[in-house]
Amino acid sequence: MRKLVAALAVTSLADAATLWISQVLGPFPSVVPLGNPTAYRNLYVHVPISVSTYLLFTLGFFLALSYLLKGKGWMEEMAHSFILAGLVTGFSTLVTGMIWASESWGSAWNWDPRETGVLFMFLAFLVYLAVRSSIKDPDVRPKVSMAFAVAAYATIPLSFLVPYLMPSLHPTMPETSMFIRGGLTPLIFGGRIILVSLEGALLALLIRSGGVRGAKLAVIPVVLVAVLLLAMQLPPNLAGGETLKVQVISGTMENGTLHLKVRSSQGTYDLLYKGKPPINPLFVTFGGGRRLTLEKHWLLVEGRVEDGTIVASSLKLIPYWGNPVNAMIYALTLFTLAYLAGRERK
Amino acid sequence: MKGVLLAASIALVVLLVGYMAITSSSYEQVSQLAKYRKPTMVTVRALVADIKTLPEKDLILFLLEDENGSKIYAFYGLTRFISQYGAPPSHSTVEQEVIIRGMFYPERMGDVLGRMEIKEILQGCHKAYEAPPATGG
Repeated sequence: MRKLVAALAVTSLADAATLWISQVLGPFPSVVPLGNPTAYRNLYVHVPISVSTYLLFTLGFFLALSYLLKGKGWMEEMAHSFILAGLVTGFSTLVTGMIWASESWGSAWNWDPRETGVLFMFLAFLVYLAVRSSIKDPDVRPKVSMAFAVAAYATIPLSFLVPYLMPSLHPTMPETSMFIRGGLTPLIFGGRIILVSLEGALLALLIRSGGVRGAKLAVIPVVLVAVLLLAMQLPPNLAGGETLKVQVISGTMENGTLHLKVRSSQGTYDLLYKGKPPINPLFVTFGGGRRLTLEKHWLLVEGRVEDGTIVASSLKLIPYWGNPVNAMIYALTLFTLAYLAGRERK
Repeated sequence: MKGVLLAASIALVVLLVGYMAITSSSYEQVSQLAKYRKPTMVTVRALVADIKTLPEKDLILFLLEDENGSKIYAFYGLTRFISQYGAPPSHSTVEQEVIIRGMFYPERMGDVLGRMEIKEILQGCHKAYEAPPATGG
């Protein structure tokens, strides 16, 4: 037990570090169809939670099937713990996905085939939970509930494969592979998938043990990082100083000066800036042309207004508000699992 | 073994219901809108044949079609579009294929099946992953 808690604490520390790195330094696509491009940093939160959910349900499925074949009590208990953990991460998958979709797809809920598939998967496992808690007979309960758990697993391949079989807003793995292979991305993305999945599995094992007091303490680093990320997102007036929030419409670079067309709640402005660009690279060749990567980004501008033109002394990217919120949802997910692990077993 | 058989039978039902739920949530083609006789909320996948901005009415007019040649007109708020996309609509800001949700009014005008008031333009994120990565913050 202590070894499991120690492993959880170490994983949680690494998880917290990669969560921070992914949200502050994580690469995002330089040109996106809709919304703030930094919303794509949800790739490092939403996707690992989704993978963890699939993994937890898969382990739960094999344990449930083993129970049905061999009838060993510990298999049923463990299958239940994995499914319970999968339900918590599954809920988190749905919510973090909705927050990301509201920016990058144009609407939080779209009845996209995979969205529908994941919702159906979540509901199917909820039915398992309802069945398990409604049967009072201790001899019948494990058999029937494990049969439901095995049956509910049919929703996993269905939800996973659907973007490959019909038009979907969700991309397929081959479609994302080009981005995921570039630069720092494979390290951060792959690392987070491994860490989040491992943490989910460790917490599921601890839920099975029950009465684990140290689990909540072990996940604190992730909670702290999420709180810090939220604090960094404070509105400019709370952060202090005279600043303006603008969105970049278009721009060019002339003689070392960045000329931007920006809009704010007050109207459209020209903006001039000579310092270090807040994004790297500033231009890319994509879609048959040279594209300014600052397009669609929201910026926090410090500077002065001269003849209706903003002369900026500092530009800072404003990340999509949903990123720290999703990080917090992830932290709360871990904390919920740790809470479940802390409960005494009946 | 009874438990496995029970699981297999329930799994078949789950698969069937799941398949029906997922396929019914897929997007309609423009030509499929011909079946509607009264205003209906629909989600349509279509090709953008033409875009016109009507600044005096604060509207964008899309002419949408599918591979079968069926067409509809679709309207969206110009101000709302600019606030979402950062620029007025053009073939560079709007992808060739769009998924839109809104109220479809079946009012046939020649080869146009009707008009649609767009509530949401949904964008897939597939194209984004083809772009080179950027960093910053």
